[in-house]
Amino acid sequence: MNNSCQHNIAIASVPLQHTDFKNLYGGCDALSNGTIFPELNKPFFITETGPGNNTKPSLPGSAKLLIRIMEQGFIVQDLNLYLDTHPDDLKAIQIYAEHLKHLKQLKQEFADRQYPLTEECIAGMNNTNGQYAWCSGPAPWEGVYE
Amino acid sequence: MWVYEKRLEYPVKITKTCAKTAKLIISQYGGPDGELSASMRYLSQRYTMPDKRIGGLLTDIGTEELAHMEIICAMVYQLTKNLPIEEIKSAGFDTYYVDHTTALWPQAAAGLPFTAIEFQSKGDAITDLTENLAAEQKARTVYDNLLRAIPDPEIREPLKFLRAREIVHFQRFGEALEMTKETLDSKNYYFFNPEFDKEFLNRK
Repeated sequence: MNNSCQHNIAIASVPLQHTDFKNLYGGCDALSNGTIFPELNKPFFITETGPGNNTKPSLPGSAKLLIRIMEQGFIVQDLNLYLDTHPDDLKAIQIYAEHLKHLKQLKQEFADRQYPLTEECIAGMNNTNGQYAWCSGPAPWEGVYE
Repeated sequence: MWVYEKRLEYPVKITKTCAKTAKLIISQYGGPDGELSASMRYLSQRYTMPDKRIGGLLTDIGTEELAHMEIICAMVYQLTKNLPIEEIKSAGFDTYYVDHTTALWPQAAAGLPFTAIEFQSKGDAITDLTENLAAEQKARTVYDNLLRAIPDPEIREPLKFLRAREIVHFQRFGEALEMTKETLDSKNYYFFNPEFDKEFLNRK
């Protein structure tokens, strides 16, 4: 994309994001900052200063597989939106593919150990104990991360 | 179509109920700049978007907004779960309770019901993408206001996440606007409507 249109009057302009992918946040930091891109991490002063901000909690049940799936799923989500507006970025496509593969493995592992997160996971499950697997597991809004 | 994934995009585990906080946060479910409004806005606008890539972006962001709606609803649900009637009354949650008990219903903090009047699908790519830039900023301001009012870290962390997403979405809609501008004449972006007067699009 050329930048020539960015200096025209009477219309909004937002510069295209350029990134070398060198300093991307890892899963835990990406999820807690709400982006994998450090240059897009722009926090609000209220949560950065003052009392209480040193007692920042770790994510609930942070050691657990479901949280790892959320972290990995979020990396894929943020890269997906980046690729929507940078569809020719080969480096991004490569990183996206790697994380997508890892995410699929984690979800299958979770289906085998706990319960399926999607119907697709049911197809790959080793053992459903003769039960309808889609009903198993807590509702996502119950806040169960044990 | 859509595929449901049985998890939240960001974890929500609130161990202390607070009806007063639920009354504020519910605005990001059914309020003017809430996640339901955001989702319906983008998922409505995408059909007539002339650039296929931007139709795809609207689908993806509109879908993520549905996941954000689910996060907000999970927060309101956990904040009001098993509330005794005394607490419902003392927190001023009784005016909501009388119509909805502790079920989820999309409304603004001040009680206005969700309405499609709060968002636009105008059928002009420049107009709609400019609306979306503003929508992301309005939602960010609501999250700023919530963060200022709510000190509890269990509630703050998901709100911080949702606020951060508004900034990322703003950037993506800005890039979509630049993509749209490239298909138009920079001397006059307003000579025709790229979603309606399609015969002009290939003439450039």
